[in-house]
Amino acid sequence: MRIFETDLLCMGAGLAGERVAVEAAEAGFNVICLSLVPPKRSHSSAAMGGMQAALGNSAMSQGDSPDVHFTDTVKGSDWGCDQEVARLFADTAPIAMREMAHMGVPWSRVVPGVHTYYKGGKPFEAEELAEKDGLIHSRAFGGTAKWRTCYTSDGTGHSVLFTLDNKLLQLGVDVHDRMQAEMLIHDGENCTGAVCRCLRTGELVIYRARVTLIATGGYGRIYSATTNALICDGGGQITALETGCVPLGNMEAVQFHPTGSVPTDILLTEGCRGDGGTLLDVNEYRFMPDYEPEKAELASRDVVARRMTEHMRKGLGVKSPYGDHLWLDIRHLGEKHITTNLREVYDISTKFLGVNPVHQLVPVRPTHHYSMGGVRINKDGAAYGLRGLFSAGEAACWDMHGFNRLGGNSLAETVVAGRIIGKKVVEYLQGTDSIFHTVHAKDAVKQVQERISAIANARNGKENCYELRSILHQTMMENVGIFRNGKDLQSGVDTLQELLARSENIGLQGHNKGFTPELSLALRMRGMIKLGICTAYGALMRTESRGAHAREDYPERNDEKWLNRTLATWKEGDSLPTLSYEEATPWYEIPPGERGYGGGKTIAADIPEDKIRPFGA
Amino acid sequence: MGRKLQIDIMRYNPLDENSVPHMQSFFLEEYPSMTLFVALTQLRETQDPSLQFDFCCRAGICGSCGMVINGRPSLACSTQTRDLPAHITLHPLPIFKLIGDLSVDTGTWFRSVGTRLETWIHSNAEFDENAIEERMEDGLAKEIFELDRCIECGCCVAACGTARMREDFLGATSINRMARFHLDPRDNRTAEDFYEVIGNDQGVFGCMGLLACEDVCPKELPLQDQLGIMRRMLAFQSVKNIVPAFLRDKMTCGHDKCGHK
Amino acid sequence: MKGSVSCATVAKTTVSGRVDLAQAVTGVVLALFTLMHALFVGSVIISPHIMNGLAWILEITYIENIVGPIILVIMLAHFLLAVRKMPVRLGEFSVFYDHAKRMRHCDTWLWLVQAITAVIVFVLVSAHVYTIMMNLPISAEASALREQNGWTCFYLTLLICVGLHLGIGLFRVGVKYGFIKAENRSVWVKRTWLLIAFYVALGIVTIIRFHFIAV
Repeated sequence: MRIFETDLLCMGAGLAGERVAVEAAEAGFNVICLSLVPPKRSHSSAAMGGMQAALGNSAMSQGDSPDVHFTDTVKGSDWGCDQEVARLFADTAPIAMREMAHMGVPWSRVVPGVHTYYKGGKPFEAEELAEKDGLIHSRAFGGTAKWRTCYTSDGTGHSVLFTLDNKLLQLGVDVHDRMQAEMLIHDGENCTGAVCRCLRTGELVIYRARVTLIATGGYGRIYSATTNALICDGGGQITALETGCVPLGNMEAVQFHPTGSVPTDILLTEGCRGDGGTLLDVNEYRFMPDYEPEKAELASRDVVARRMTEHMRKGLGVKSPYGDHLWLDIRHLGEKHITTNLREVYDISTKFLGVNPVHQLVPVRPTHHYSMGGVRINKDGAAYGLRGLFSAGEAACWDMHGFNRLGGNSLAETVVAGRIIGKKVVEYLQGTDSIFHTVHAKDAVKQVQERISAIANARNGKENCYELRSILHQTMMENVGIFRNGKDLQSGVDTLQELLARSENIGLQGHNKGFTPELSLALRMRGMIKLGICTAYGALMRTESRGAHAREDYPERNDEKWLNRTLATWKEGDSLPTLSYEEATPWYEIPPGERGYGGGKTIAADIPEDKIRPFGA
Repeated sequence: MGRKLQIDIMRYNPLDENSVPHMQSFFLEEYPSMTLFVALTQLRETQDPSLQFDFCCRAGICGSCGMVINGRPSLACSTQTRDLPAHITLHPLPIFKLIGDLSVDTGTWFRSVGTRLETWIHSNAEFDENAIEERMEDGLAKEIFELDRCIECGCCVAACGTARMREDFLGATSINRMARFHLDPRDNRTAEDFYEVIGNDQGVFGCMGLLACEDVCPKELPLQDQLGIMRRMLAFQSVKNIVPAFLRDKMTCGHDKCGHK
Repeated sequence: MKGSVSCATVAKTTVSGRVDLAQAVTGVVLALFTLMHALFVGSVIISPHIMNGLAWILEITYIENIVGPIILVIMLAHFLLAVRKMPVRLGEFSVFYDHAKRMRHCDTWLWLVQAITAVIVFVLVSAHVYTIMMNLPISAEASALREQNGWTCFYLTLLICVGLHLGIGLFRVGVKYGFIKAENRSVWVKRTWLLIAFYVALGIVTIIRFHFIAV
């Protein structure tokens, strides 16, 4: 069996993982990145829109500052975020963007002069200042007071990922692609690496590391209609959860994107609406201003997604063989704008939907998009429960997004958190020695081998993993979707518990020679169901509506009782996670209040004086 | 009612000593808006769970699913079955190492090329946290992004006759990548530096101008144009010491990085 | 190793660039010569006297004695430079052939045409130049005699091969050196086929004309 030793093991080589890797490698530490796919194919590459950072260069971002960005982020999170982390994020974001420019990202730049922009489908003119000529430009995204989203045409994630991956090449960081982490090696106190399965040959490989970083992205693939890539199966969160001692935070906080395409579920960027695209119903009537007079299509994602669902429930959706949907209209932006600034949208519409957005309406509906929850870490990126285990990016619950993240904040989080957590990882590495105990590694390998052998030889039964997955998908969509209620959630939890029991009996239907893709999913299935249960059970217990978590039976935001974060750990042998709660934030720069969009009632909380800090101090 | 599709797939598992490369036929009912991603996933889930192929974003953005579709390399996820005849033949991309069935190892190939060509910004400038970013013309940023859009799917390499005959040929993707850095003012490399890595028959001078790279590129990148620009620049570099001065001035490519600032 | 590119360092030399340029330049020179040649011989269509007049000028200026050998040398150089790109082993040829068959891609096929015509042209032109040099001076009557003595097939083959090789070759140089771009490619494809058609048509008419000259 191959054994690798390293200082830092990055599970995942998307933006967050690679940004941490850069920091550690530059400090002279040995780094190995693992990835399910060649790193440039990571799902970060699919993020089209941009990264929020208060650079304030463009005309429409005059007067922007980290304070305003911080305020937008806290409001967006529906006060579910950790304000210390959100502050850290907003303050660091401009530096991180400039740093990426330095490394080679071709950000779109300010061109001085009068330009025509769109807001709510109407053109207006704004003058870009001569003194800002050639500085990083920004565009509008939902839920923000200023135009703050830095971008490179329609391929921000792609360009930043390529730039970072090239940086790793330069630093000589080893990347082991087609490698799936199956289990963390730990002794209940320290995490010392991972047991992985090679997706070329099927062999097991041991990685011993002083620091293990989980940067594996989200777990959207527990839903059937998701914009997430196929690799977003929650592998990282699963390994953390299965240690029994590392909690996952706010798993019930799941974001639905307003404009997933129909029927492919491919994301159409928020940039469409930011640039002036509108949403129309079956009568081609623009309905959003009726619900949200001020922000209309550009209210935060949870609000827009809910309003769309609400509107479709009134019977005003467009009927199709793939279910109801609404229309996205960007025709008025013109061919030039659509084929340059929104080119990926143009490509997706023409190639995957057979629709030309220059002349036709694009079918869209709210689709699962982002996991606010994940491996709970502190502000330094260290996971709760195990020393030597860190996490960053969408895989983690850092937690700057609370119950709803703003468009452009997650992509920004990857490089901002990567930068901050990377430095903390370096500090940690500088201050510790290696503590490897062969016995724990051997034990972990044995467990994985036994599971593989049971599945490959169908020892416990011949349950079909694809069938189990489709039940998981269906349950999550129907019971743990955009609007939730106690009855459906309870029945969802019941179904999933049953499914969890069945998952112990999975057996391969096909061959078991060398590598087989079926085994990869079979090994993941148990963990994915557990993630589903954490989501459903957390949602069931949270009897309020906050951000993306909307309970029909508890429509008000209850700050009195629920201004907190759910922590889910899974004890071995249990069929439910153990939930506990911690305060949402150590202090408040902005005490809970009105978001200014979305409506809804609030049950106010008494925030003690000593928890309130002066704003912007 | 949809057509009945016949999909012939090349099967081979190099890890199974009993496996020999062969074509296997599958049959499938066609749906509206069906892509090869949908079709292949369905085959794996309902007919043969051992079928190997790679998909990741399934949105034409990540470049995982390059394969030879009815003879031509292309992305399977963005190929609609309605644009194909009812009889579809799928092969893995040539040139790259076969992992199994339709899955090939593009990762190793691209990483080795990246290391060899040093595809990163060569600069000694330190990042200053407190300074504003260096300015750049938006037009130039867009031009760089245009070349940065390559998703490393490998289709251009697999479609290249030169690469098929000479396996050490770097392919259009690599030269396009170098053109991207050549364009970027943050990269200090001179024409001489570029000549050193791609001024040879493995690089620009190996290209025979067959245009297949550009014709199959799923991102519709101007690959042949970039090959032309780089070839002209590097060919000039090789003769600039022997051509008369007046010609030299005429042949400058108008870029300050050609070593004659 | 298959699937990865060797990391052997490449020698710091200007040879590759110069060789590549030389191949293009010799090709273009040969093409220009061939076109001039076609116009020269084609003048017989109007009248054998014009061709003989032109031949007389070439003779008294010694151009035919000088240019002939030079062109031969350039052609040899062009052949040797270009042969680097040809399939050297049978394996390479069959890989390329299979590739072209599968791809159904016009430019890929045309390269095979280019490689095959290269060999034919090289052999036939050598024979042609040898005969011309042995039977100086050039005259319409001498050419007509050859055409009427069973060389028609020889010249028809040569004509078509040269036409294709020249047209495709010029197009290829344009593409390789970035003069023909994505935006103007279709125009140049048309122009290339027109050039080939013009050259071959002119040649055929010329050959027919030779058959009607009394010798």
